[in-house]
Amino acid sequence: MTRSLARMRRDTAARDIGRTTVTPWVSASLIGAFCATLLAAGVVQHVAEMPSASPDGEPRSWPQPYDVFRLLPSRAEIAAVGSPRDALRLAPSVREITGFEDALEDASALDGAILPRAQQVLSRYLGVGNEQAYLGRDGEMYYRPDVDYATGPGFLDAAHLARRVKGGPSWEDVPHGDPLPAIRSLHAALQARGISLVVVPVPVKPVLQAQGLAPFAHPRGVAHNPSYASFIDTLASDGVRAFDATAILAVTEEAYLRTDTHWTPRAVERVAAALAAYTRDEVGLTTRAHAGYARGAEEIENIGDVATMLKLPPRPGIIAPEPVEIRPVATSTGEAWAPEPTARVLLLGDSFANIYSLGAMGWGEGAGLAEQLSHALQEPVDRIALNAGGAYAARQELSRQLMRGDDRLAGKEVVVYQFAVRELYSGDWRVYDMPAPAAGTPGPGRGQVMAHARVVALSMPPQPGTVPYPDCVIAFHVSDITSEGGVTAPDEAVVFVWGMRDNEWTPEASTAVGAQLRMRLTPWADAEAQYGSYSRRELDDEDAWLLDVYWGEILP
Amino acid sequence: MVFSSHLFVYYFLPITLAIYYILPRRAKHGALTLLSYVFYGWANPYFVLLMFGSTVVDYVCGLAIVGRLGRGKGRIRTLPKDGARSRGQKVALAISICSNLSLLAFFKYFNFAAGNYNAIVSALGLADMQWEGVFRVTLPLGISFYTFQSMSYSIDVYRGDARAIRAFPDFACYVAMFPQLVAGPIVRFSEVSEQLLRRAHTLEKFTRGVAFFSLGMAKKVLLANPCGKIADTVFDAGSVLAPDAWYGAVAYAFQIYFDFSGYSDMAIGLGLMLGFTFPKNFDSPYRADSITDFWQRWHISLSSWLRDYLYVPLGGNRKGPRRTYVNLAAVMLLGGLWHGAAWNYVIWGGIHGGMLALERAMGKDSAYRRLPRPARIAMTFALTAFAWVFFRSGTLTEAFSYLGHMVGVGAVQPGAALIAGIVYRPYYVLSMSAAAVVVWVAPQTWDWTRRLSAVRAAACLAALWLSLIALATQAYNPFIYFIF
Repeated sequence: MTRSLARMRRDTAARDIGRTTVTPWVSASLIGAFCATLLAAGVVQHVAEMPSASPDGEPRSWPQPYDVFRLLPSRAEIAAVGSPRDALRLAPSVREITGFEDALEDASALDGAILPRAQQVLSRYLGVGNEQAYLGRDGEMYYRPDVDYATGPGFLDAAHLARRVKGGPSWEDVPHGDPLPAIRSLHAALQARGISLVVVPVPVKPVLQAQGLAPFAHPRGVAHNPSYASFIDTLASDGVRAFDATAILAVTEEAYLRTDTHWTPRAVERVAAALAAYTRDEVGLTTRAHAGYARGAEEIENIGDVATMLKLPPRPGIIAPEPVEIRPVATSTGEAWAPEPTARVLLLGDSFANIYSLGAMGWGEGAGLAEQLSHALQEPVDRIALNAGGAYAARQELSRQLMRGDDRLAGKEVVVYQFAVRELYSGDWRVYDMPAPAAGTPGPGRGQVMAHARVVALSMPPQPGTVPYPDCVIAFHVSDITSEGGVTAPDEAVVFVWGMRDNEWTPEASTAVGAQLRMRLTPWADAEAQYGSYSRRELDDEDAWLLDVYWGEILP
Repeated sequence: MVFSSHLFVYYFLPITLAIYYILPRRAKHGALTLLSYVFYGWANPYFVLLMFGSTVVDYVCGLAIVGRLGRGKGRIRTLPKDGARSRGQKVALAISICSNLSLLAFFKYFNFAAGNYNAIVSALGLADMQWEGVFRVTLPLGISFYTFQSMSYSIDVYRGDARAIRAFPDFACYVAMFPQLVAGPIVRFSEVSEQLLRRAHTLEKFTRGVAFFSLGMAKKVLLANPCGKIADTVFDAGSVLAPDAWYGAVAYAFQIYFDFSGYSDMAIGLGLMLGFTFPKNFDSPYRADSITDFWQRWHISLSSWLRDYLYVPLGGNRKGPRRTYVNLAAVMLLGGLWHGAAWNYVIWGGIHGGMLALERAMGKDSAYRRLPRPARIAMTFALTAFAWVFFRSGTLTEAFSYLGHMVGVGAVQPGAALIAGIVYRPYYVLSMSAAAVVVWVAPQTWDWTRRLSAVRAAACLAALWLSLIALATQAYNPFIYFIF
């Protein structure tokens, strides 16, 4: 009986297919159009890539899809096989395969032509954003990780933390989901040096402006993650001071930009003023002579980072730029504000600290959180602030500098650690050592060096459009450095280069391990002010942090 | 590799079709096998070795069962159906079944067993006996599907339902064939054994294959993915309002149906393009008016596999009502466990098994059967959607919490109000409405593509193009059944 049922299924299918009714003309037309569709992307790619250049500046001989052959082992690798285990190692890694497929999609000329127009239809007529951007009412836009923070389970819940450990690609380090160990560690390290820590979690837009996304949300409601209150209480019980900006932002009119993830200049100023009062009143930072910082005024207009993530057609009128007035801070002599390494206050921050300060973000300069805090305190402030990775990037940079013997904490009395609250939910809270001052490797001398070097490792930029920042710096670990013109250079170094500009990978991002490069190297101390605040992907190998650091430009 | 990906549609598929049709008949299966290994190895090249090893074992066992191992020449005959089997034949079958089940047990259930062991010893206060240092096993893609397929070969040959294959490339091609390799349908050897030896490649077949593939792609990209976005938003939230919880549950029911039936349609379509005919895997399951009816329409290749290779050998309904109920429950529990190594799936299987037993116990003249058919369909769908909550939730705790929200039990966080701002956007409401129409009103792919007029062909093409346009705007979105 059962056998006949199985056979019946097979025979029914065969009979059904055999009864297909289609005229030869329809058949030929459908098959022809189908085959043309399958070939479309490849043909378009070949046409589009004719004039493109490879990372080393030479014209590409083959379009990007042929990079698939780079997954195959070279003749030398095959010849070097001496055991079955060696042979197994010839297989490309999952990371390399995924990287190729991602690059194939990103570089697709066909998809590049389709996506903006399709997204415009989806956004304009169907009210939908994409994986990263949610559309709200009246032109309001929301960043998905911000919304996830407000709607998700408690970030301290064991189940959530366990899920984060299981998630993510197999080749990436398991994220540290719990923020408390990292903050406790920083607090302990600073306390050992007599420095006070003030933690400043900055609420993101959905927390305070839920109504812009959901009409039925409470107009004055505060939609923090369920673990937020517990987090603040735990910090307090651990003796860590937390400055909660929620109440200030809740009563600030238009606290957030309409099409951006960040706050308005007005919100920055109000939080900076309250934070300054907090460091005086609660932390005990003594008042010093008035430094004479003054504020000007400047009109800026820009399209926000969430709107940019929608990848709409680059035509005027699709999204209206948003005007803001910033008040850049200047010294008593009228010079632009700059971070002061000898200041008593160090601000560790993320893009919420950089906006209105880092010009490349498009919202002006001189009016960021550090500047406004400096103005409110009327004394200099030092700053380490990097876009992206608010849960770890600034601490990582501080740790790196301390490990290399550059004592950025010398003379500090207060460290303000600012991060967006979304980091509590989705950030990687790695714990970093903050070693006491010790003689480290002497830093590189000043002045540029022209050098040849071999790349032994590199970090990768994020996929364009998946992060709110259009630019990203990546790191090369280089060795066998030979300088030109007799200038002294180390054998090994870390070189930061552009990995992504304007949401497109740079040729440097496609550099292969083993590549020989000619570079212009600028000591990081000379370049940090210009490039130090950009989103940055560090090398996995922390030992490399002890090497000399340069900013690099690849030369032909 | 995913069917609904740029790489597959624009590069892998045209290259595969070109190679397949250029090569002479004798070389087709070898080429198809190698291309299928590339397709499969794209997820992790080392998994190919595993599948190859499994293929070799079953191939050898198949030849051993028919007594042709090491004998190069001579026609292989089908074994007599009810004839006696020698000890050697039984051992060969046992080796095949044990090797496949061992693979499945190790790769799919090791972590589950280790986790349960740890939980038990921890509950007994013996935490120091936990397997802390034990390695974690990575689940190879589609292992549940190809081990079942491989097993069906040895069993079919042993039972005399199919002839063993002498040419290794033919058998490797059957096991590895990329259209249905990682997410089914589970194609039994007896269903394609003749086609492996000879099959026709016709324009009608290829055209119908294009139609199947296009409509399957549309189901996946235009319906399953938006419904999946709704389901993900709601299920991943910490807490949700009751209406949103119901909306999310229905969205998941639509997502899993269109995701899986879309994949099956694409698999059938690709099979047709390569000259193979695979049986139907879905038969409008949400139009079922009982759970018994549902399982005659949902994932037919799995339900019939379980019936033929598990339920019937257990005695089926031939050993009295009580044994029948036990068999039904056991088969569905194992069916649940087949989907995933977690208690959620066991409970999901238990709900379905319990309902199958209950419906059988109620008989054909029950009060339920006297209800109007639309009411029975609605009740069946509600029960199915309820059971899907266990299937979708990450843990049992999350499943019960979600069910609590569906009936208004449990605290709701302030951020829950934001959910509505995402999932009721016009695009999602439109997608859900379209999904409902296709589920309950539209004709099935099999019926609709039987007569391909110019208008229907144009509609298929439009569906494909619209899907590819939508695909360009969507992030990576693998099929749900890839993880099983």
